[in-house]
Amino acid sequence: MNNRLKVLRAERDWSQAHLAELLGVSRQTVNALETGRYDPSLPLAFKIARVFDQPIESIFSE
Amino acid sequence: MQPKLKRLLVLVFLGGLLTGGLSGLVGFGVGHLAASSPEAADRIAVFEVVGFGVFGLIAVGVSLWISVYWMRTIDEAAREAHKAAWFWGGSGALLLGLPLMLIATLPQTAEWSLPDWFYGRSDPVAHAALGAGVLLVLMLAGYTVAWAWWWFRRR
Repeated sequence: MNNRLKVLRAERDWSQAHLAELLGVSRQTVNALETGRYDPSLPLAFKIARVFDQPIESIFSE
Repeated sequence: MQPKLKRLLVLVFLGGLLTGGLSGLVGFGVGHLAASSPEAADRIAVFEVVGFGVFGLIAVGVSLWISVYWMRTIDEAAREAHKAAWFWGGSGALLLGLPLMLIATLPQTAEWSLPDWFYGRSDPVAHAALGAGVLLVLMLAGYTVAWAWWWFRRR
């Protein structure tokens, strides 16, 4: 699964640590998400969508 | 690191120190008592076995409580890493015991002697404990390798 996490984070000039804090996960998890090597659970995906104020389908794609 | 995890680590560290200190004191007291008279040593022998058993059960309970708390506190990716480490590393390493068991069924191995790594003892109970210890070490090693590999692949 692909995602636009890194782009969205860069647009907001957030660090991985800051995004991790907003999502309530570790910085390592944010890194794994951004590199596409870890697919989030549905609850975490919804949380990510809320943090970036975007629909899930605009952040994640197959 | 999350504050809850930091608190848990401090608690485990202090708890370990306290338990170690208390165990040392009790061990010193019991050892001193047993050394002072053979009758006293005979009388407390059964309590030592029961005491160790109870201590072991309490240690298992506390370890489980810490593990549950830990798993509930870490995030989902860290939890996945532990699940993968348990399944692939722990179970994979456990399977390494299978060839040993197969070899042990052969009559040729009846004369083999095991190393006396368990406090220099070579009685059946020591051998059973040695087998359990070897499997534990294998599983922990497998768990650690699988856990590190999971994160390495997702760095």
